Parts: sequence; structure tokens; C-alpha cells
Amino acid sequence: MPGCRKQPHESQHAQTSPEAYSLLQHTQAAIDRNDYLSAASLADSAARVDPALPEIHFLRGVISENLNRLSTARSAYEKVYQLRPDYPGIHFYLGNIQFKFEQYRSALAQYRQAIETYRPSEEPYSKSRAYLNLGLAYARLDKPDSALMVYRQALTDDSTNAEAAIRIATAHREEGELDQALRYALRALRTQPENPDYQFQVGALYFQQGDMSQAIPCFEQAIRQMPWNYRAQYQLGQALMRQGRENEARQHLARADTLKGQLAEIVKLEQKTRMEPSRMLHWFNLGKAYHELGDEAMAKESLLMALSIDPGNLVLLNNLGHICLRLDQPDESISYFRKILRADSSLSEVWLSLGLAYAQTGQIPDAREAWRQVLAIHPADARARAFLQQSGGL
Amino acid sequence: MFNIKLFFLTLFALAALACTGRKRPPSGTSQDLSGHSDIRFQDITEAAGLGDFVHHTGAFGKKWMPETFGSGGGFLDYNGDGWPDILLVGGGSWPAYTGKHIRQLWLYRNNQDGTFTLQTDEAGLGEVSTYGFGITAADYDNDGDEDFFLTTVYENRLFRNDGGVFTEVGKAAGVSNQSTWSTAALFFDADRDGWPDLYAGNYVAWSPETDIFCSIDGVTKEYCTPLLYDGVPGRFYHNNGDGTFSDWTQRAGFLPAPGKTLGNAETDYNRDGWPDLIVSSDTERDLLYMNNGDGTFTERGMLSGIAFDEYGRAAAGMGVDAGVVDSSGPPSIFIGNFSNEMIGVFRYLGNNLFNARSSVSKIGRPSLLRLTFGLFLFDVDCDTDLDLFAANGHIQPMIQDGSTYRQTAQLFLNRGNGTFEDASSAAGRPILDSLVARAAAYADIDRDGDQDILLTENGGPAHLWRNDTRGNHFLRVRLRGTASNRDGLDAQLTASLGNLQLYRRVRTGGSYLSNSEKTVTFGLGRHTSLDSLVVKWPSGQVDRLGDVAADQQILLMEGQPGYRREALPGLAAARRAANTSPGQR
Repeated sequence: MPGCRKQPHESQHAQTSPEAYSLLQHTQAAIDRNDYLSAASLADSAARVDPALPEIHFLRGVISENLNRLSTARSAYEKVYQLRPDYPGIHFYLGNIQFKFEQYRSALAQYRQAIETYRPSEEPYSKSRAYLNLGLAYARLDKPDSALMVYRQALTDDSTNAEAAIRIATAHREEGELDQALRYALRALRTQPENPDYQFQVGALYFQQGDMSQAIPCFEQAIRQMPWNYRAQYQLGQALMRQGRENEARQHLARADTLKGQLAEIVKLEQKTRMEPSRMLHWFNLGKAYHELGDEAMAKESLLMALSIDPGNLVLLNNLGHICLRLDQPDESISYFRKILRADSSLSEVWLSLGLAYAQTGQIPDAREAWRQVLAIHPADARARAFLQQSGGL
Repeated sequence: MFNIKLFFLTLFALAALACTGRKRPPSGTSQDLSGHSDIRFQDITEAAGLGDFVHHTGAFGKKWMPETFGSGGGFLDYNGDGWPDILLVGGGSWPAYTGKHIRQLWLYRNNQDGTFTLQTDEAGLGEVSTYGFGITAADYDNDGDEDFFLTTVYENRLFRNDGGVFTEVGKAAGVSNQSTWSTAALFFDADRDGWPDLYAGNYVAWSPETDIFCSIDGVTKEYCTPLLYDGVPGRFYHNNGDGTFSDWTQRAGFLPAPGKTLGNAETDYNRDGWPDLIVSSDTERDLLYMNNGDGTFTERGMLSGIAFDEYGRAAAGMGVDAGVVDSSGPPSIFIGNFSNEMIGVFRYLGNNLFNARSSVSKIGRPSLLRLTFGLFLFDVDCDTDLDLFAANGHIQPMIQDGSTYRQTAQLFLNRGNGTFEDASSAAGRPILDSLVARAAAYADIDRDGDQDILLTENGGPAHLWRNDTRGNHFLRVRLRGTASNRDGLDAQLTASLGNLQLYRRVRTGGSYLSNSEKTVTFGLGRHTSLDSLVVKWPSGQVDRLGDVAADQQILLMEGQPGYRREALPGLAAARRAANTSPGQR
């Protein structure tokens, strides 16, 4: 479930000791960089300073939730509620945890509380988001009418809530009301034109209405952003078949079949991570499988889980650096490559990659410096020479 | 000679007396003669003598995957008296681990008075020991009696019927040579040579030794998703015509395949006269085997658009059926799926393409949170069009909010315009009884002209629901092949009623682990006769009957003029019952 960034509550800072506050800030920073192991240690340190601080339990909940240790996360959030029932956002997060446990009735109650006690200036989530999550819980409880009503409320509260619009579209689509479904799906897409899921959903609705000329570009756009998605490949293949473009269709359908097979392997790897979540290698293999599938965002997520278990693992850091480059996140790449080089500055390949990351951010002098480091280690390295030449550094 | 038409004209007022005029547009007729009736079923399990049956899962705490699959069952006429008998699969146990044995097969003879008597031992089935799942029945050796095939977690079994006594001949016949977990099977005459061939769907490579520990919390074992196991492709056995079969899986085009099969159904979707096969697969692509016109097949599930659901997802693919649900002619395919997945509905467009239309058919939303195993098309109210029955029940007793382990069945009434209406609530009990349903089959057990329902539960009893829906006319047709296979499998019947054309096929398979009767039922609504009935036999023979009166069961012999009328002793009783108020029944 998409949520909002979770932070220690500002209004409590006055009552928090400077030492604990500092530790909490460091904990939050570690969470922000997905370093959950450090975050957990920092939270423990903060707890030693002031164990009754609800913020500590809240951040422990966040850490556990991110590590998919849901029982621990739930206990931590419950402790927050016990210490301070009006802790901002606590009902919302308890709702999210209950939702993940498939306890939708409990989730419903928490989301209702979150909405009823909503304080606009204090809550770390929007009211529209709470309505949306309430709708999701209703939908899981087979209350489509209630779900639709609160999705609409979410959209009324925030007309830019694209997910609310797409949920309304889904609700209409499930009822077979394709025109209305398409109207809301298009609204979501107008709000987030680059969202590949919305592109896919709009395409699927055009497809259902028999409008292949509209459906095909939507599927093509979706595939450009998520080439690993077998559903989009399949639907594009179907649309092309209906236009008599069988050869093209066969290519996409074959690709869909291959991707589906790869996904099956991923499911097996995910099961291993569920069974032994503390084994770094399982997360690493999962990340590798996602990378081979082409889903770099999921690959990154898995590798981050691996890194939370083994924070100093240079192989993980290197893989993360490269994945972040592919995800167009060069700043994060730089931090991973720098971390490696702090541990071992003789790794010329990492210097080379660091140069590429700097170049991607436009920091050309830093890039040149990195490539010069490559040449310092391997003076004949043709790639570093070429990069330097291209960047005017030679 | 007895004047059948005159007889039925005098009975017309009686037959139509219970019509209540439900809403619904006409089904392609200028004059609405489709007829609409209130749906009524009566649970007669105990009264019929089936109350002692219980399916055993063999569960002893290890949560082994086969324990959730249930409980095959269905109808066959093992003693050839024309009354559907009942065969139930008792499930299994793990004797090596628990030391327990259970009765594997339960054969109930129809006593022709609404009751059944257990005849397992007398029929030679008392000593069968295995862990069984599904059955499919047909006269594979064309000797005049109905044989059956049993799928199991080990070697499958073929039971040859010799005058009401069965002998297990699987190994000798060449269909029990692999120890593989098989599920749904069917007989059909793939090459139209007059001998029914056999397709046996396989599930995954599982054994107690390869069981995977699955858990949500890492501590408590749960039943696994099939995604974690490798699928095993189904096997196709060609009938050699001498009591044996040859494994033609590769030769006939059934490889490669993803396995994880839970359902299969015969159809001739492209109307080329050759039987095609639909295979539903759990979490894998569903398959469409197009007959190449020579008994070999080309798999076209992905190309045709039935492989995945209407949003491109691989669904759980369980029970499956196919039939023409509107008067326009093209068949539709219906596939039961997991909770949070709609029942799949695919309508043939032509040019080897299908349109997915779960949601627009109005079946999708009501089925979204149900877990559908058994599923079949039948004309519950005899109003001319095929309705859909879905048997539901979850696999895990502890499941999420919003979905339950025990679930009610669903009855979707065909509105005749491409959409269906969930009539479950209106039908009341026993449709609204919560079950852990698995197999679902139909037959006219009391020979009153309509189709009754048999259901099984996983780790529970069987249920026999008598159809007491009244008010419409019908015609039941039984085929006997001569050049074609004796059961008339894969024959296509087309009944003309004014503008309406009703298409039916004689088939085995369909639903989930189930076997329904092969006698074809045409609901005729208010029509008191058929304009014509055309039978296209798999041999190529075409037989035509004109002006066939309603409310009778007839036997058609391939290539012979006319038909033989068969008694429907239950019809008079049903009509008497229709004269009493519902409360008195």
C-alpha cells in the first residue's frame, strides 16, 4: 500500500531531550537511506536515553514494516498508541498494518478513526489518502458501493489524487460500466501522464471497448516504462491480433510467456525470503532475478533488504550503485560507489562507475577526477581514457 | 399408435401452471416463448440415502497440498437401467504416515424412487486403495456399458464395466503407467475414429518428500501456492480400439504445456466439426487446443485470448465449461478462479479469437471474492438458454476478512442478452447453504425432465439438490452411436425453435473433477415442440428430426430414422407436486 513518509512528530520535540532528539533524527535519516540496520541500532540508543518516547516506537514500527516484519511493526505501533493515543497518524499506520495482515475490518475501524480525528496541520498523511485506504478496505470486504463512495470522497478532498480516480475506474470496470471506468482512468492518467500502470489501465479499457487504435499506444507506452510486465505484453499482443498484425502480436505474446515464467521463479525466491528473511543471499538472489527480468525498482528494493542485513557488503553496494544509475538516481549511485571506495580505493571499476554517476548528474569535474583515478590504477584503461577525452579531460 | 402431440397439448395447461413471469428480454424470438420460472431446489441428500458419505482429506497436521483439492464425483449409469447412479471419490489418507485406510469409491445405485443404495462392494470397487480426485465416465470400449477413469495422486485407474461389475485395467490398457498427480480428465473422440480417447490433466510435481514448507509467519505451516511447484503437463491417450490406449501426448501436440491443470472441457469453438479442448491451469496460462482436423492439436490459448483474464493476469483456473449462451451461435468459455479473481468469461469472436468479458457479463463482480471450483452450464429453468452454476469454497480455514472458508454456491441466470443475473439469493436454500464445495455435476436423477445437482465438499459430505423448478417445457435427447462412438461423444445437436437455435454437445469433462450425464436437455420455455432437431455425429453422419414434441426423453440411434421414446416416470410426480403449494412439498 502506498503511504506517506513517516517522520518523528515535530510537536513533541520540545519535550524530548536533545540527545534523544538527535538520535531520532539520525534514525530517520538512516530510514531515509534504507539503512534499516543502522536505524534499528539508533532507535535502540534513543530508547536507552528515553524509553517512554512514542517517537522511538513509531520509528521502530516504520523500520519493522519496511523489513516486512509485520508482527513487530504492529506491536511497535500499538505501543505508540498506548503511550500516546493521539499520536499523529497512528490510526492510519495501524490501519495499514491491519490491512497487510488482511484484517480488513480492523483496518476499516482504524481508517475511520484516522479520518474522524484528522488534524490537517499535524498528520503525516493526507485525508484523501485515508479515504482511499478506507475504500480499499471496503473493497476487500466485498462492499463495492461503500468503497466507491469513499473513493469519491478521496477525490473530492484532493482532485489530484490519481489513485482515487483509478480506484473509481476499477470499481466501475468490475461492474461492467466501461464508459464510466474509462472516464476516471483517463482522469488519473491526465493527473499522472507518465504512470505506466494508468497507461495500461486506460489501454485495457479501450481494448475492452474494442478500440484497438487507442489501446495499442497505451500498451506501448506502458511497456516502454515496464518492459517486464507480462500483462502489458499480453494485452498488446491481443490488441495487435485483433488488428490482424499477427507477427507482431506473436512477439509480444512470446515475451509475455517468457516473462510469466521468470515471474514464477521470482515467486519461488520470494518464498525463500519469507521463510528466512535474515538470509542476505535470498534477498540478493531475488534482486538478481528482478534485475534479469528488467524490473530495476524491485531489484533495488530487494538489494536494499540484503544490504540491511549486511551493510558493508561491497558487492551489494556495487550492484545498488549500478541499479540506481539505470533508475536515473545518480546521487544515490554516488553514495554507494563512494562507500565502496572508502573501504577499498583500489577498485578501478568502481572509480569508473563513479565517474559515470557524476557525469549523469552533470558534475563533470568530479567525473573526470574519478576517471583519472582509474588511470592511476590502470594507466592503459581505454574506457577511462575515452570518457576523459569525451569530457575534455584529456 | 399413441398420439404424442395430442397428449402433450392436453397436458400443456398443467405443464405451464407454475410459470411466474420473471423479468428478462426475449432470447431472439419475435414472440417471447422463453418462459421464466422461479428457481427452486430441494436438498434431498439424507432422504436419498447419501448421508453416510464423507470425503476424507487425510490431513494429519502437515498441510500437504493434495488435502485441499477434494472430492470428485458425478453421475454415471453403471447398470444401464437409464437412471443416473452416483459415484463419489472418498479422497484419501496417507497410510504410510497415519496407518489409516479409507473407502476410496462410493457407488450409489439409483433405486428409481428418489433413493440410492450403496453398491461399491457389489460392483467390485470395494478394494480400491489410493488417493483419488476426479472421475470421467464413458463407454471407452463401445461395449454398451459405462466405464470410468479415476485420477489420483499416484497412478491413475481405469475401471472397465462388464455388466455392472468393474475391473481395474489401467496398467493393461496403458493409462496407468505414471505416478503423477492427476486431476481433471475427460474422454473425447479426438480423431473421430469411433473410439473415445482420453486426456488426463496433471497438476504439479509434488510428493510427501518434495513438500515445501510454506508459511506466512515463518512458523506455522500453510497450504502452499502452486506457484512454488513445477507443473506437470497432461497426458493424451489415443484409444487403439482394442481396449488399450497409446500415449500420444507428444504426437498429438499436447507438449509443451505448463501443467497445473484443474479443469478441462470439450467444445468445437470454430465449428469445423472437430472437437477442441480447453484446459484450465492454476496460476498458469489457460490452454486452448485447436483440433487440426486430424486428431492432432495446436495450442492457441495465448493467441486466442483465453490464456489470461480480461486484465492480462494468469488466474487460478479451476472448473471450466463451454457452451453457446446466446442465440447468436458462438460459444463462450467459463472458468472458475480464486478469490479476488472473477470467474473468467470468454466469448468467441471468430477468426480464432475470444473476447474476455467477465465484468460486462455481470458474472465478474459477484464472483470476485468467491473461490470457484465446480462450474457448469445448464438450463436450470428450461427457458431455452444456458445458465451458470458455480460451486464455491476456500482452501484455507483461516483466511482474510471479507472471504470465508465455507461459501455459498452461485446461480447466474442467463438474461439472453449476453449478461447474467446472480439469482442465488432469490433461489434461497440450499443454494445459499455455505459449503466447502469442490465437484459439481448435473443429471436428471428422478427423470422428471430437469437437471438436478450433485456437489461434494472437501473433507465433508456430498449434497444432492433436486431441481423443483417448474413451468417450462423441455426435451431430453440421448444418443447412441453406431459408426461413431457408442455414447455419441462430440456429437453436436441443434434444435430450432422459431428464430432460436439451441446448440448442445454430448460431452464428458467440464466442471471440476466431475462427471455429468451425457443426455442432452433442451429447455424449451413455452414452446411445446421443436421445429427440428439436427444431430451431427462425429462420424460425419447427419440425422434430422422434424417437429419433435416437448416434455419427453428420446433416444436417437445414429443413422436410423425417427427416435425411441423413453419413459419419464418422474414427470407425472413432478406435475402432481406442482399442483401443491411450495409449503406442502
